[in-house]
Amino acid sequence: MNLIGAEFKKIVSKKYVWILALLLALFYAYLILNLADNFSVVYSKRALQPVFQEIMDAAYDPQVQEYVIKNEFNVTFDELQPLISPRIAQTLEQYQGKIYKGYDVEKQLKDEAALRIESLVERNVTLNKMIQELKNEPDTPLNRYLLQQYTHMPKMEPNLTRWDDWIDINHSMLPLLIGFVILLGTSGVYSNEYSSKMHGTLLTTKNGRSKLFWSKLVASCLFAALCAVMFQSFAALLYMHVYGLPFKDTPINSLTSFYRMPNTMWALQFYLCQLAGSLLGAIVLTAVTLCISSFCRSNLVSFFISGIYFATGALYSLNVEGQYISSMRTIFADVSTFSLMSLTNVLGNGKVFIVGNSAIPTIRLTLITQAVIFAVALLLTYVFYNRKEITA
Amino acid sequence: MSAKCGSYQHLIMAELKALLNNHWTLIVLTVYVLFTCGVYFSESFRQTWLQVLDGNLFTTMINLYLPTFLFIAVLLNAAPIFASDKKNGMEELADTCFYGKTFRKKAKIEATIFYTILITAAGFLVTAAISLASKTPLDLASKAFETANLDISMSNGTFYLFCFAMVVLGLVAVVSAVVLISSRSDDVIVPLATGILIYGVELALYLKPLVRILWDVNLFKLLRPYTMLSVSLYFDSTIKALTANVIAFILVSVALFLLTFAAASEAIAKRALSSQST
Repeated sequence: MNLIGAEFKKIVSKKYVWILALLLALFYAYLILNLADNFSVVYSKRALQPVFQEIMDAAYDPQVQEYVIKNEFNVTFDELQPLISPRIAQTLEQYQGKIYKGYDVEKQLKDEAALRIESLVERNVTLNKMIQELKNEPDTPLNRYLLQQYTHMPKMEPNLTRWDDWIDINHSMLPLLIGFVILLGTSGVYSNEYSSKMHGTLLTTKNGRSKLFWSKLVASCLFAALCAVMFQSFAALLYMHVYGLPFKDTPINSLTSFYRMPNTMWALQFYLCQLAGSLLGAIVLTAVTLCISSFCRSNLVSFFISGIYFATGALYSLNVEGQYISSMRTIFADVSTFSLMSLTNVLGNGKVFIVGNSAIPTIRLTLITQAVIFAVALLLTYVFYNRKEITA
Repeated sequence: MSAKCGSYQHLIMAELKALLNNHWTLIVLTVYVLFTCGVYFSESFRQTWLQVLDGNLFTTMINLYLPTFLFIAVLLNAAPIFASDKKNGMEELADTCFYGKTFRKKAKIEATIFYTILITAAGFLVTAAISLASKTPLDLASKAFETANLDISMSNGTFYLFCFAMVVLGLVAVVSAVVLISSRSDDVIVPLATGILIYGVELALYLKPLVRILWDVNLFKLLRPYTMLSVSLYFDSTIKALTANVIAFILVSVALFLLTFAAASEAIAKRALSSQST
């Protein structure tokens, strides 16, 4: 435990890691807090939350559905008003005459309410159409998977819960920030030892280097976990301040970002998966960085190569998102460490990889690949670090 | 300095040679050449990986891809320029020489600026050479972005020169910040991380234009020069936005280089005082 403590102290005592982490956190806060006074943040969803149930009931009302379909999904609030609960109009009346940043609040909210109803009707019509089409399509693994997912989806709800904003936390920026700080902290763990010639001196000690290997590994993983927890907590606090907590859980297919995606999860469940993915991804990234650090004599090289590893996965993954099929071209992005830390691309989109006659959820491949990368990285680190070990 | 001791020009040349011979320069340029060959000679590679600007491959390369490679090369070379000297004790050794500290520091900074200009020129020339080798004309006389109806119009030839100037200015601005941090840190990772941080912050401000003036005055616009020829969010004309961006980055670069010199003088004064007291 002493050794682990000493190694952990060595990592966290690097002042520049915390200075740069603080700068990053401040910049991140600046970006998020800047959104706080947007019309959509202040009014759109917040004002409509009290009539969430009424909007949902309207979207599932056969009369409303018929009207919206007849008008080709292009209706106004005034047209819908006679068909929907009067509570919606009463709730919006309190914003009469209110102007915010040039927007007529009542009018905007009425448009938003009509859009939510219209969009929910359209989504349900599209979903039913897709199910019917899939039933008539040939029996392929992909069609089987899609039919299974679409028919088992929870009932869609109006997108008014704020979960789309909360899930967006881990879309791209936060995983990149966490990755950057981990690289900063751990890229010199072994390289610094080589450059200070300490690794040679260690051979003359009683336990040599092998015991240190485990201490360095545990300390680095602790640091990575600490970074992930700190940044996730910080982001959650910021989002709580700007958007507020989502007032209820919602099926993920209700969110605009995951429209048409074969995902049967609930938003809270997905967000918790993202938190777990962030933690696991941070630990895998640490293992890879340690491995690279164990054969680099300079932490600059180690930082650069580890950065290339992480950034390539991130760029590639961000470029191929928005689909639910993993192909031979996208699979390297889908199984990347960044994909595990974000999960939006792989799990959020319900991605599958077709092999022969079966459809394998890509998330399983991501987890297996990352577990293999972790194990191989540890093995290589052990070999590289202890290659000059003297045995008694 | 007498010729016997080596002139100041010799010192700059020595530093410049060290930068040019650095293996990072070779590695980054090799990767860029391979990528460019893929772009120019393989249609399937181009279709899979490339987003073509203005139907012109040279414009695409010098706006979207070359600046990133140059940024990496410059960053990897500029980051250790002072920090590595501190780490291996070379800085203190230089202090024992009569002209060691100030002249060497000045020479290092000037060599880094020359290196930035040279490597940018090399990047442009290599791209042009590969373009000609693949029989893809550079279309120097045609109008750049003819169909896009930009606020500032120019011929392709002028546009290429404009791109060169903007990329050099952007990279010099990055170098000025990295060199300053390098002179104040004894760990090479700090200036390297700072360079990446600056790039990331500027990219985020460009992608999410929350503060309009920071979208117009942005490093990323210098490294993607075509974005400066149309649309300004803060200024009432594109030309004003361009001028503001150029002036702001020149001023920032000069201020940061001056700060680097100031740091050197301060360090000399401190050492002189400490040697007197002992």
